[in-house]
Amino acid sequence: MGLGGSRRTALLAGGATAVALALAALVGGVLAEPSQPAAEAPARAGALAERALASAAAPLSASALAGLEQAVRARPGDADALAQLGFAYQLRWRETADASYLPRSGAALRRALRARPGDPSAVLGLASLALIRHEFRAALRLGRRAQRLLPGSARPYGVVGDALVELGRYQEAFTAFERMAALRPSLASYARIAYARELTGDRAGALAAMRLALAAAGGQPEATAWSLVELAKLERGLGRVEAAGRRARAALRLVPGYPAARVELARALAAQGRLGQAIAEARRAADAVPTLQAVTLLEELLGRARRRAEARRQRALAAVVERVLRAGGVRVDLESAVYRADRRLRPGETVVLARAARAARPSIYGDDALAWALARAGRCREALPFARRALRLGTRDPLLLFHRGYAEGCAGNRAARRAWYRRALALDPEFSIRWAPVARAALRG
Amino acid sequence: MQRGFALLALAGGLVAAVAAAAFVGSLGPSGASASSHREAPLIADDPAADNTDVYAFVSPDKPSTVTIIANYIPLEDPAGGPNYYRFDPTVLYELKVDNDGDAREDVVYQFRFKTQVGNPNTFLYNTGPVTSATDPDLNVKQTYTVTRVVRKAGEAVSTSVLGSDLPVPPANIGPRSNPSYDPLMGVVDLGGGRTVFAGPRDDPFFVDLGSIFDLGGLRPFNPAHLIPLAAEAGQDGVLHYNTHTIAIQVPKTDLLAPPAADGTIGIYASASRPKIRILRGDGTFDAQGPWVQVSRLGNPLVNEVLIPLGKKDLWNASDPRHDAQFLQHYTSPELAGLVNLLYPGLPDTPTSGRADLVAVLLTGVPGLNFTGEVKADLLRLNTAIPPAATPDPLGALAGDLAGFPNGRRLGDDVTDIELRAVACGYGPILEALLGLCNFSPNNLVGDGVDANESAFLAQFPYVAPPNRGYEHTGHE
Repeated sequence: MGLGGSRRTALLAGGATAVALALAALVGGVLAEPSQPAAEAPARAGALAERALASAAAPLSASALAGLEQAVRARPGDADALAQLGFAYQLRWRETADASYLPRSGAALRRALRARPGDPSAVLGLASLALIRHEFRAALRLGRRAQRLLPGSARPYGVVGDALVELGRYQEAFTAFERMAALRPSLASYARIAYARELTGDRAGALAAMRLALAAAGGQPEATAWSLVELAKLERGLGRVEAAGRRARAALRLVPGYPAARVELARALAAQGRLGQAIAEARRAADAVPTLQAVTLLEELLGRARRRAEARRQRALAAVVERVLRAGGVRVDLESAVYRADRRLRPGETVVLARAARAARPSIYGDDALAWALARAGRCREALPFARRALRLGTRDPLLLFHRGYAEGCAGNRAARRAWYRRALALDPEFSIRWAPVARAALRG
Repeated sequence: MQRGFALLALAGGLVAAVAAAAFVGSLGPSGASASSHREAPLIADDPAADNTDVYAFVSPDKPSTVTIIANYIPLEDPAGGPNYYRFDPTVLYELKVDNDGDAREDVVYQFRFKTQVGNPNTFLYNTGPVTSATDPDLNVKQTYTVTRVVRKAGEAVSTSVLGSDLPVPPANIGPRSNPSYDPLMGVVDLGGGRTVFAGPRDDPFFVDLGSIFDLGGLRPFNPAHLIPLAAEAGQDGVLHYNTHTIAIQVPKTDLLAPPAADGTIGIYASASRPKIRILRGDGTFDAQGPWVQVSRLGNPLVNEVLIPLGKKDLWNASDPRHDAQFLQHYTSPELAGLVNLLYPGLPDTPTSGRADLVAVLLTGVPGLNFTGEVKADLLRLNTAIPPAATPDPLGALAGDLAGFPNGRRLGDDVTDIELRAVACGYGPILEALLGLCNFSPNNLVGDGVDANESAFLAQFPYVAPPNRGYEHTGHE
């Protein structure tokens, strides 16, 4: 299937609402006069949002983005164009992993909101931006506001559910996802059902839901590529490493250079035992778009190959990438804490960082980061309760199991450590480039 | 430009970081956790389940039959290789007919598709010239099953498979892949007077998208716009785009409640996706329903023009028999106010109490195709009205009662008809016949695009064969 576009869907509404905007600018107060009932305003804004959202879902070339930027320069008060531009920057972030798009997205969306207070599209855009930046409480607040503005729409449930997941409020999150899927089965809702199933340990069910998501992507490049990469991760986790590689390559054909797909291809190659090819692929990924994932993966692969000097250079590059992300407003405390704990960089400070990360993001991954930081700092008794909490949903993520085993071992429970390591390796013998060999060695010893 | 800037910043940063090696360790680089926050797309179009248009008419060459056509997948680029466009095997496509005025479907035709890939190791759609829907050189094939379901009060009382493994004709790629493209390829006689087709076609819809997107402009009426321009001829924004058509031709008696030979039926088409939950009660595979309707269409442009964003998902998921909940959007259409603002020279259109729109869209027009008091957005066809010898694109507005809003033919100019309806310009004929409002010159407005570029066929499936990718020089 090729590029589908739903321009027709936005047809007259788009025209009519663009008109409303232009008129607002042109004839000043006309829209606010008593002849225009106030109740009509949200409906009009809603139709506008529809058009912005329809456009945001379409694949965006850099030239289309330039066109939107030009439209905004020509009509600086056009909330419609501003909201579209805000979404467009986020899509470019998705396609390129370039964090410099994020502040520009925020600026465009805030301008849209100033041009038309309460614009549902702009509110949803800001909620989505907050998610990207890992500001989950803000995302929840904005998502709830979007729900009030769009009461019969599935979309705000996605933001609200995503935020609730990261805040560790799983029952509420899953209710939101199920409501979303009941209102509108789609790539967006199927993908969230898949993630919820994965969190609750149903990996086969997650795969089935992601297959539906892939079908619903309808061949649209970024959405399809994203679904393929998620499927590849699930397949790799289930040991189907060849299928994972095929999915990643298919994603790269659809969106050449897609950062997440390159990283996933490198992981799949590593899981197939093709370390040289994996390093080459990870290097291509890191050279083209130095995402945090690409750079740290390359570092780990080089470390596995005992090419330590090269690995150190990647570590240096990762530090720069992180600064760029922070400059783009992305909170990366949790990822930072795990990274530092992995490498035992200043363990005491890492515990403080992990504790802050968990406070901002009290999910099972927040629990896991703190457990891991504590265990690596040798504070084993403190680590154990968090390691247990990290597994409270029954998630079958081998890294969580490995961390639990590590904390058990560190606390002196050697038999428990072996049992958890065995379970982690049984789920995926190549679950981590750095830690799978450690787990294997421990079981041998 | 900005991305280039970011990479430059990174490169510069790298040099600095490597130079200050002692500083590096304390920077605390991070590895984003692969399994935490997913950033799943929040919004994505769903073209394969996007029902763009529905047509229903008494077949002009077989007046004892009715033809129903539903199109899915908007704005297909004919050169959209190498994958081209397909029906989605996870979607349930349905044509639904109410024949007793309660807005519940009594007869349903269900379509389910399958995709077969001959050689998964090639990306080629075809490996040689393709001359039929079952050509061995066609590497990606779709087939489908048609099932007829008869319902009573919502419960299925009979289900019969009318045909299975029926072929979907291929994409029309170019002179090498398709040395000829038989316009009737894929038409299947199901017996019992029923004929079916499902496959790519030229999109029969015609509308001036470019101008309407530009602040609601109608090129022929440019001078009357709030921002006036010189008048121009309209330009078809759907010109040479393809779509995927599902069409069925059946005896009238297939659709009507026995023993009637004629009557008014209400029609809509839909696409549904499987409803899934997080916990799988029985561990069954997810693709078998229950279903959630994700798009539905009876009358043209209603979802686009009348239903506000915040209610679109709800509207699409709702059955037409519950349309009373959306009544205010029909009686007080936002568009009417916009027409007043945009075209200040025209007489003002009433922005509330629009019983005329309720009749045209929700109950049928008394004396033409009224089905009772139940308000439901259905395309209503009075099968007793014979096909017109010379159809008028303005349908009932021009006194041709065999056209929209009595059913809808491929050539009906529904954009102009609905614009005039919303602007209260029904024309002298409907004013005299049915007492509908008729402001002048509102009864002349239109987008200036009055016909499809490709000629329709004189026989089923009527829709023109798909535009060929080879000739297609690219849209936009």
